[in-house]
Amino acid sequence: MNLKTYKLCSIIITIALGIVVGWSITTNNYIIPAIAIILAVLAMQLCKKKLTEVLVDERIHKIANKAAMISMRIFTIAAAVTGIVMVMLRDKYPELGPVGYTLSYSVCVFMLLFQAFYTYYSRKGKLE
Amino acid sequence: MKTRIKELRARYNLTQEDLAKKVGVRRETIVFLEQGKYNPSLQLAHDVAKALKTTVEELFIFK
Repeated sequence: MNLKTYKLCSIIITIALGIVVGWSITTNNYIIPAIAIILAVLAMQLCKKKLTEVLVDERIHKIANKAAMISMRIFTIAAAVTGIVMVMLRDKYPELGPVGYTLSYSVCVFMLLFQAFYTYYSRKGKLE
Repeated sequence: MKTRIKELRARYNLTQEDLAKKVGVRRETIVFLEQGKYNPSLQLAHDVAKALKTTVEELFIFK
């Protein structure tokens, strides 16, 4: 399977999964989405095994790392500020309180996770 | 950084795709390497040099 076919399969699997999950939510069926997700993951793994071209190399890794770092910085700052503002406004708008707390604590957990993995890989030495 | 990848590729009649397959990277990576727009890891530099039957010092010219 070449890269073009693999990308087409990925799109088809994603669309199919989206349709199944969307339909399941409207019919209040929660078992079918779980099965569909597992099947979609298995289908993607099968497609990856049949792929003859290189999908990800060191350059793609570097690009993804850089994009992830920038996205993380923007998101954590924006989410932290938004969460704090929501918590501050909880007296006037009570529904914002739980959302603000959830957002703020999520950012804390995310940053703790990042620090934990950063420390682990710093000590590990070999990164491949 | 300049490279002699294109010159050596032509010598051995290798397309960018052929070279990419030989060293296990995507064709786009070879394109960026040839243009001097991407600094490869030591491993990749060594693999490309080996595929083109030369050394890293001969293949990559640092200004």
